[in-house]
Amino acid sequence: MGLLENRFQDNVVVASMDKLLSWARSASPWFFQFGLACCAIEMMATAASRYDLMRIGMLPRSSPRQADVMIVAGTVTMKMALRIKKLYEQMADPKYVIAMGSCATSGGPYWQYGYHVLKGVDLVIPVDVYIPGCPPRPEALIEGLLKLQEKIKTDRPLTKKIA
Amino acid sequence: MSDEQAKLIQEAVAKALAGDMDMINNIEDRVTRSKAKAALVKAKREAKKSSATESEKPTSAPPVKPSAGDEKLSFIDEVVAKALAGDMDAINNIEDRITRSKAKAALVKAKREAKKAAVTSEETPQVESIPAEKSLNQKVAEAIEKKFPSSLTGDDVDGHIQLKGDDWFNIAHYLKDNPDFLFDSLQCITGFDLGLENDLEVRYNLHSMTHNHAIEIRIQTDRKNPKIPSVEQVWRIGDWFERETYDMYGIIFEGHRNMTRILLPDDWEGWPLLKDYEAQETYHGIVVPKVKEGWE
Repeated sequence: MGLLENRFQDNVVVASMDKLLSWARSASPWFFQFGLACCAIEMMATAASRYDLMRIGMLPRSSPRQADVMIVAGTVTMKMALRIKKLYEQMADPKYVIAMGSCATSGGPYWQYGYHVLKGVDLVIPVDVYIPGCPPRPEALIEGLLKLQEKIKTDRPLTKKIA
Repeated sequence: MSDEQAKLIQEAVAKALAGDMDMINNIEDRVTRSKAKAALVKAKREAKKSSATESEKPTSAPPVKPSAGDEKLSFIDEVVAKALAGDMDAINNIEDRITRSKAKAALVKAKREAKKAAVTSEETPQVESIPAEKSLNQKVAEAIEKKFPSSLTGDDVDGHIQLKGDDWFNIAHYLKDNPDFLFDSLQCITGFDLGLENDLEVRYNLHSMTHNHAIEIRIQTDRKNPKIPSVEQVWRIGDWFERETYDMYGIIFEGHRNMTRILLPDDWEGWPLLKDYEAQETYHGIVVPKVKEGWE
């Protein structure tokens, strides 16, 4: 949104433009195609023809630079945590993160004793939507993505944010 | 059920009991046929139950069956006796399939009983027959002892072979190349922590594709300074196996060309599968919680 972003004072009415932009963003959040564990299988199933993510405007991109949404699908190990962080930093704004499954939200079955597992990906990067389940069914993932779309729609990218 | 049907069924069952199954099988109506068959089964069962007091039965049919059965039984006994004497043709030539299989079953039973009786009556011959051939483990252990003296530790070679680590690389080469053994496949390397007071141990599972036989080699190494010769250049798969063992136990495989961690990050501290392992506090600023109790 470069030139226009956050440039207008509150007294300038940009409401319709804001709405248009956030609506446009919400309609095609392309997600970053990578999987860490069994949740990735459900994510693949969701993207495949039976559940067909493309009907809500989502398709997988293989580069973080082309993606808007990062779906963290699976167990995040300590070793992977650093790489996840790096990948997140490589994504262009606006960017969103979905923590899919118990492992990504809280460490899941490794909650107590897994020395090698990050207890929730939100310790490393900000998360927008959490999807519970082990792994969540495709319906749950779609629900989460629709929630994310709702969230994107409430964004007001042009209005200047006051602390 | 109509009277006509009932009559038909009764007649058919009577005939079937007398040995003529055609009448039942030729009943056209499916329901009637199945009813007739059910009645037949019932009649047979009753006949069996009361075969001792068969004369009391009013129906004419049942007495036929037991006597037929008796005939069969005595026939089977006869055939089994012949087979035990070595003449299997007697059984194999029985035309009726059911009788034949019954006869065979009886033969197996008779043989088993004969065997049991033999065992209980004379136990010594069995014990004598055991040490006829050396087990693979004994053969391998002897071969190693001959080629590499005093590299075995412990006399017990049942189940596994315990070795000293020093000559392991050469022994591995020998086991792989010796035409008698040809252990061309290293199937698994397992690390073991035998407890805080004891050593670490590495177990190798070897298998030969040619001979289709397998052994287990165990090598112990000092807990303070764990070192074992690498067999990565003998079996290529040993590369990753040894790196994983190193990753989890800190056992250094000397001669390995890339002795680095394989699963954990390179800058991880400690060896997670050791009994005295304590996870580090943080990793690159991320807290490594050991035990988390309850929700905040």
